[in-house]
Amino acid sequence: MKFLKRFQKSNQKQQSEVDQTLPDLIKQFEGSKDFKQSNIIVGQPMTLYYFSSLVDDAALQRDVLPYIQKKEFQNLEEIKNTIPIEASEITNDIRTIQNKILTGYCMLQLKHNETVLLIKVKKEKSRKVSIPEVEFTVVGPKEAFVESLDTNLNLIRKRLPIPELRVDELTVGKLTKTKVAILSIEGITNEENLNTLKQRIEDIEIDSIIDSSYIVQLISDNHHSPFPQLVDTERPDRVVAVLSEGKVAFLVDGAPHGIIGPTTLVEFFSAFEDYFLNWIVASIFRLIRLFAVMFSILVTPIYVAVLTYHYEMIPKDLLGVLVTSRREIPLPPILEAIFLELAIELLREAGARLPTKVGQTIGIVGGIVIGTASVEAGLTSNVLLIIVALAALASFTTPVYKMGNTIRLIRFPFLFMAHFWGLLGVSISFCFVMAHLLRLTSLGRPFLEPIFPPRVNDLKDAFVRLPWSFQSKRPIETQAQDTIRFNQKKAKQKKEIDE
Amino acid sequence: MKELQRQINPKYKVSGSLAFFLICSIQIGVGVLGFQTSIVERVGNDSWIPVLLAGLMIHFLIWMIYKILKFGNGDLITIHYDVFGRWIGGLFSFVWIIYFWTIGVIVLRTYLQVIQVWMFQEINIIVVTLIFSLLLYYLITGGFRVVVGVCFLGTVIPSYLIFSLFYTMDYTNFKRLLPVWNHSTTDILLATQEMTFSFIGFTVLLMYYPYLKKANKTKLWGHGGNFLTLCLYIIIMVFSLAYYTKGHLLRQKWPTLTMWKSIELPFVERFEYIGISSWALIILPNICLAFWAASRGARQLFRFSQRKALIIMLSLNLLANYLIKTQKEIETINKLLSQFAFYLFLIYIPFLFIFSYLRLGRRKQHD
Amino acid sequence: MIKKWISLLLILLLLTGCLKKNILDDVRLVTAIGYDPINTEELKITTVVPLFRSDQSTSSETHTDIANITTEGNKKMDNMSSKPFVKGKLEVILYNKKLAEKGLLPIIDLLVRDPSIGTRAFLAISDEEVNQLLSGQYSSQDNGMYIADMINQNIELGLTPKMNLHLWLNGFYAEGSDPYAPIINTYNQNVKITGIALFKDDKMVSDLPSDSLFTFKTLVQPKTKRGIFTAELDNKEVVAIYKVNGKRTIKVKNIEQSPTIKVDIKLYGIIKEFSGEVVNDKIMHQIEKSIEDKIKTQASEMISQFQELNIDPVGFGEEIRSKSRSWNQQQWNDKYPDCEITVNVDVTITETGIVN
Repeated sequence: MKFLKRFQKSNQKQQSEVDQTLPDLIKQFEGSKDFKQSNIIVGQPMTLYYFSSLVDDAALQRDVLPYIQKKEFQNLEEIKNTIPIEASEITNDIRTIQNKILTGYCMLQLKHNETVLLIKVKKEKSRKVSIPEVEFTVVGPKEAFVESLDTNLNLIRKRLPIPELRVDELTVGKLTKTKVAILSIEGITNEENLNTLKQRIEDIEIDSIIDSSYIVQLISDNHHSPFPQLVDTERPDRVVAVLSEGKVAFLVDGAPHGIIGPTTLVEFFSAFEDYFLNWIVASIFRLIRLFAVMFSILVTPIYVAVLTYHYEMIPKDLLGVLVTSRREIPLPPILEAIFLELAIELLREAGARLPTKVGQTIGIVGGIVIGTASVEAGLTSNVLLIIVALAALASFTTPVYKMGNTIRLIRFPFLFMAHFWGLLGVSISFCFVMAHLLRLTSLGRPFLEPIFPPRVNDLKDAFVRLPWSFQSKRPIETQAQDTIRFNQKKAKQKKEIDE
Repeated sequence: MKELQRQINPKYKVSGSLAFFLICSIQIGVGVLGFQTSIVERVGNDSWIPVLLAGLMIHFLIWMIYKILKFGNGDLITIHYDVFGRWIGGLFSFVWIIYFWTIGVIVLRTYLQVIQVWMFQEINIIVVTLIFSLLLYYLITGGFRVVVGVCFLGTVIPSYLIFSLFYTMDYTNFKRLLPVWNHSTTDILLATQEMTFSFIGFTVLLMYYPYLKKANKTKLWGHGGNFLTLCLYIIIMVFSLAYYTKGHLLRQKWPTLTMWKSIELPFVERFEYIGISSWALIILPNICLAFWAASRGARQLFRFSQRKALIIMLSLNLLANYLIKTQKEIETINKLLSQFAFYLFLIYIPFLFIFSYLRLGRRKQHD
Repeated sequence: MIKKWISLLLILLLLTGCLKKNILDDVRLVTAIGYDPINTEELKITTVVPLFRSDQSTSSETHTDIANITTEGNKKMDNMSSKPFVKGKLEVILYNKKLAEKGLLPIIDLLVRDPSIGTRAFLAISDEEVNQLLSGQYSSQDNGMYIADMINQNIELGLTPKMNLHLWLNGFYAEGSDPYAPIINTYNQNVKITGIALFKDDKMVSDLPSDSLFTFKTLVQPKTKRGIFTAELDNKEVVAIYKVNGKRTIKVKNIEQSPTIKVDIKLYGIIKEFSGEVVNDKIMHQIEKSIEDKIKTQASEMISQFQELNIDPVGFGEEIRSKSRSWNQQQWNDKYPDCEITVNVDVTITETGIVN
């Protein structure tokens, strides 16, 4: 109820904005120091209004002022035709005027008319396209998204020069008015996926969108899940690749990331480099990565479980090593493990907050000094130190950053359960994670696909990546309209010996 | 008050091929750990024959169930309703619901017993049951799709355990299976009766049939699932017979677990601890499907929220697990249930088959 | 709602999470356990616990107590120790010969009932007092591990037949065979396998000396590998052969009435050592012949000894059971001593090493 009332209130507020008149608007703007107005008296008295912080001064001097001062104009239409700027319009709609002025247009008013001319002299301040940092690959293109939507769209369009590439634009956020561009390919992308995404973005109720991850969190199928349900990538080539698989993507103005959906669990463990390498190498790397994930989640809990309860399982040759490494340590295995895990998390967190160079130093110094010292002080055993360090290393092999965080996080419940119930606790925790993953969906499509529902067709690009000749069909996951990517027969044609 | 649901929204249906996993995942459960003893007691080295016979009998019953479902075109509750009317049918349905629920309870309790004996003598049954109940609630409220997912993963992920059998090859002597068929036919049939209990869960098919896409075309998958179970039971039985001498096997309560004791890998000894822990994943589909069927049955019969029915059933499960304390009680309930199940299979299903043919099948043919 | 449940659950878990922990360094791992008789009622129980030193070497510590059943002994030992004793890593179970002659079943029960004890533990008999044997210092390992490794190595090298707790129990419970176990004794500051103890049910009735181990192993295991056998030729030359492969088959005729049993042993070996000069075809033949004869006499003597004692470590009974449709253990026990059992040995020398 409360929410409804608030909603009505904000509606009323918007209503009142519409009732504003142009002088009111100008008055409101005049409150800001960077709002400029200059009177031009050549023929008819004209006033030019603009935000100096949004408008490109040079362009204004070059493309606007010389032309309007040249001669006398009778009406706005004439000015519009004279000025060599295409993006200009004549309107009396107060909402449009407000929006345009706030996005880098200057307003030209004849006398005190309600109808004005808006001319685009926007200041383009944006980073240059640079190389991807998080998803860096040795081979393959080295362009990454930047914060400007136009640049990002350009990066994609130039890779997909087809009329079927559709860009839908939505605006989200009451204060930030962030532009969101939804990308899809007509005839390939499933309309249902597109509509789901559009609907969810339209339904967002929020005042400000600072980054694309805001939207990701808001439109995820399960807000409470620690697992990311949409992939975010900084590589335009990856976005193009998944678009051609029939997925949907969206870009957010001001965010250097493209968001892809629907996605599956295994997609989070496939680095984009997998597609640039030979399929055998890529498949083995992918398997290693999956093994690393399992290792990273399970190894410390298993250590705790075995040392706390199931000493019988330790092979007899290892017994001496483990007992001697732990003989001086006063803490039970769980505290020992938590101490080390926390130490590693601290190092990681500190490294992430500090500038790169300092961060590296902290990592090395912290790792070596704390590690050695804690073993010498008898706080942890050297065996566990190796295990935890390896587990942490393994968790960093995950190509998608957000998934790596999740993996480090879900290790802790496993750890506690292992302490309480040994291996049984580990397997019960595994059951919970499995249950959670089974329930998860991404844009309404099952998250655990192709493992469940089992889809043999999609396994060709899941745990391993089979050669391109096998990839002739689009994944079932996307439910693409056109399931055939290329003619498999032609791709698989073999040459006769010596012909 | 809700309607008796006859048709399932296609959105919630699952692929027919998953019938394979639905059938075999519920048949492979806690029984695998110790089904050998009672069979070997009767027929010694011929124990694989009753396993085979029981499996074939189940194939026949699955065929019959598919026929019943084809006549009735719905689930067990709607068929009961159509064939016997509201009250008598309702009574039968109620008995089945209790039967499904009991399967869930006894499987969980037997597993907890294994844990109590082999791993943690002092484990608090109530807390473990509570954790399992929470897990089950989370799974079943996810809908049938999630339940099927558990059945699938609960079969596929633990399948690595089958390789452990090959590590016992050091000690196996397959001559122990000879001579073939040196026990009386009566003994073999009696042992077959005992064995049917291991296949018990497949009757849940009566409940989830409407959830399968092109349900009537899934027969082959269903039989395939049962065949896999059959093969698995035979393999385990053959290995146990070859691994133990008869007298030694009869001393074991859980021969499969004791077999694991002799497995030694370079990085781990005493495989049974891994086995028992992984078994949580194997029994999960059992319990999950049983409780799903029971709660779904209650929803259809009493026409109220399945969620509420599930909560009631899980609470009763908690109570039952609390009340069953000794090994003897577990054994008694297992025995009673196996007898009940045997008569259910041998008398009630053919009985329902004939009645549904008379009341529904013939009418359909007339149309 | 869900959060409430989870927090409630966590509290419950924390409150009831006190399972008995066996933290590796807070328990005393028993690696060997030995039993000596004191009088008819009581036993002397010796347990070996390794003490791991920080320089990676290990020494063992023995604890002794007197009790009538093992569990009680364990309890008493726990009372004396700062850490509890656990038997999950038990490697060797040793019995004094006198105890074995009285029957092992009453004391073996604990080991079978306890889920934490592995079935790969070795079971051995000693002529000496077990307490003395286990208290010695033999190597840088603790005694339990040391004896286990020693037995294991003997099995691997093909001298001792495969035997552990599981196999012993299998033999004990079998209808047509009897178990056996290695005998170990101290020998020059070391522990050595000095023979094989033969059991009738759970009672040790006889033993075989160490020089008949090769033949015994070849006889009781259908397939054998490795192991060195020495024989003397007619001209007093000594030859040692290394068994590459050995096969034993048992053929039974006239199963139902009075079975006659034929044991075929086929050996493939290479010459390891020969005191003579050149190995030519003639000598090769002589070597093969002398080895065949020696194994044959040893085996025949052994079998007649078994028949006299009415024990069946070879498993003739099992062989007949697997072929007969009217198997009856009682009848077989009566028939067995009078059975006609012949041994046939066929030795083939495949290689003579890198010189002729």
